[in-house]
Amino acid sequence: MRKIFFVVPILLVVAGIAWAQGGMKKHKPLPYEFGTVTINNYSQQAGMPPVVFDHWVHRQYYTCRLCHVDVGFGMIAGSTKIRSADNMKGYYCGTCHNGEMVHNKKRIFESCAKEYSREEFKRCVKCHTFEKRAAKEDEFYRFSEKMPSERFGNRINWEAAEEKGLIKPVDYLEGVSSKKSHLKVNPDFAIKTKVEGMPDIIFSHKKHTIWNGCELCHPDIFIGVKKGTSKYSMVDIFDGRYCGVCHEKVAFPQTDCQRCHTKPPQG
Amino acid sequence: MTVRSSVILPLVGLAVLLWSGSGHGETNDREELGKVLHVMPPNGPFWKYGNVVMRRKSKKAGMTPVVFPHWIHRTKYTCRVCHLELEFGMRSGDTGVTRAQYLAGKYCGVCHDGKIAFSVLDGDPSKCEKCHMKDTRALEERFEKFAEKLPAASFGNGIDWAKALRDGQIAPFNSIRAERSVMQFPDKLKVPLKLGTTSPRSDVTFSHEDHFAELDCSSCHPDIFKIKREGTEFFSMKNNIYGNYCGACHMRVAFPMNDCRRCHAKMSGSSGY
Amino acid sequence: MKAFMQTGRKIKILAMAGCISLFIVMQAAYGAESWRTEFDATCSQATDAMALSVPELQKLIERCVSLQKIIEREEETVRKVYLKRLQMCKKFYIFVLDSKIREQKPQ
Repeated sequence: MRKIFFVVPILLVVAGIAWAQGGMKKHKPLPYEFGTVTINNYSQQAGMPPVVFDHWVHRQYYTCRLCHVDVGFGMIAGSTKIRSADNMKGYYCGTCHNGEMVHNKKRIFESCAKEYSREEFKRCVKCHTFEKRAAKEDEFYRFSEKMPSERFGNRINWEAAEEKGLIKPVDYLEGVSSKKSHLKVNPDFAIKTKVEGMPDIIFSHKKHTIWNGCELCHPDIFIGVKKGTSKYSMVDIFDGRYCGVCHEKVAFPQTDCQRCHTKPPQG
Repeated sequence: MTVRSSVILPLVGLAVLLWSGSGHGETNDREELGKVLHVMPPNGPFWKYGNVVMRRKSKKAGMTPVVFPHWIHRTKYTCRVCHLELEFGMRSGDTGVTRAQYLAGKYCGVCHDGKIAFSVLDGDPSKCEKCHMKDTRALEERFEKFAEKLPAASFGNGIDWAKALRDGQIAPFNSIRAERSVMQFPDKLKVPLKLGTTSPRSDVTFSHEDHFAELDCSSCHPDIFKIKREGTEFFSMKNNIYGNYCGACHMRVAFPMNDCRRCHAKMSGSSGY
Repeated sequence: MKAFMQTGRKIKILAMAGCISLFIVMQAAYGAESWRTEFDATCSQATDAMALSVPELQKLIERCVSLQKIIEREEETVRKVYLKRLQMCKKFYIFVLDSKIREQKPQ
């Protein structure tokens, strides 16, 4: 019987090697898993399970920009190096999760604690969680039922959800965001594809700037100043650069070819 | 040979070969590859090829496993309809279809709702057995008639599906939802792709067009094939046979790889296996 | 009566202490606010950046540089959060400035 403990890990390693070589279908995240980020910079050192952050929970209430520009969260998982002390001082997660802020008539629970008692532990495991979260899954399906559906990712068309007024993401936090004037949106433009006969991409500045502002993408993700100077291909995007920074992990994935390649080629 | 051992033997053979082969740099010699091909399922009867037996959820519910024949379905729908639009996984066991999902109109339930295709919803218990098959003889008999009219091939289902599609003998739907049109196929990709091998005699001509007729770009890119051409360090015959790259489909559903000359067109007749 | 006097005194002392502490807090808050106001004023123009002129953009970038020195003196978390935010808006102004200069050149 004990042999099993020996054989199974070896088999898994062998399977892992075969897997790493590529050429295989990857496991697609389930709708409620899509956009989940596991944050484990300091959690395990502190004897806590890593934080499992769900984008779908937050993006129904707030724009991308609010957290990734105003609150200061990075765009790469783990890059922000959030400490519990930062949260308790009212920064990062603690900006909203301070036990005082009220959203939808509900008080947002406080994040982090200096030490944990039995009572506080219940609060800790709201974010520091390792187990499969059946309640979270149910909550997701209850929520997504009401939303316009999409084929991939969370299977939710977030854009349409906002257009229909089903979600109203907040873009301004008192005391955190800078008061900005209304954004004048640049016109949409077409991006020519390199493959002849492939439908061109219509890039909508409007769709992107409503949620992201300007400085989230420029110049960190799209360096080129003049239109067309950022030279990139699908290979780069598949590798998680350019559009691929958001589109795959959080925004709709690249398997949805026709969401971008929409313009019928001319001639 | 019992049914069970016929399943287990190839699996054990595959596991042993996988074990001995991976992790080391050495390539299998031809003889060994030949052995793999002989233990792999494609050499079974034509009607059985591409039949997927779904055991996991059925067993839990105390039902006979579902036998899903790809061959019936692919005359009516292209691969992309089920594997993209209906979200069936490409690996058996990945999807985990449940009765509740089926009844809610997901997966099989999209068509098997009593309107498009038969359903259990009308309360006839004999309908259960149409999928939870106790006896597969009826399916076998059905195949005989079914295959008669279609162009022949030497392996797999014994049917040249690509030819049937090209010649219009079958005209499967390419989308189940009318509002979504299928993306236009780029002209540049109409030119067949040459994939070099160790010897020019065995070069492969790959047709994007034939594949796009059944599939979507995202069926293969970027998971199975990153668009970047990276040489053949991993894209070996061995890895293909073990179900990677082309082998993801061309081993169990699309024509199997013992049909060498379907891809390696100029290969000589006596290939050794 | 005596007791009343005592409580009255207590209240006075408390009120004074309250005033002093409020003053200290206010001053600290005000001190903090001065760079926060400058930060908000500087970075809030990102939305209008495309409409700004080259000298205006250069001025904004200068303001970012001087703000950076002030924020660097703040405590750890504030430094981490606001330096990142400042970097983002400064880099964006430089980005827009570059594109403006490049636009002007060929004509």
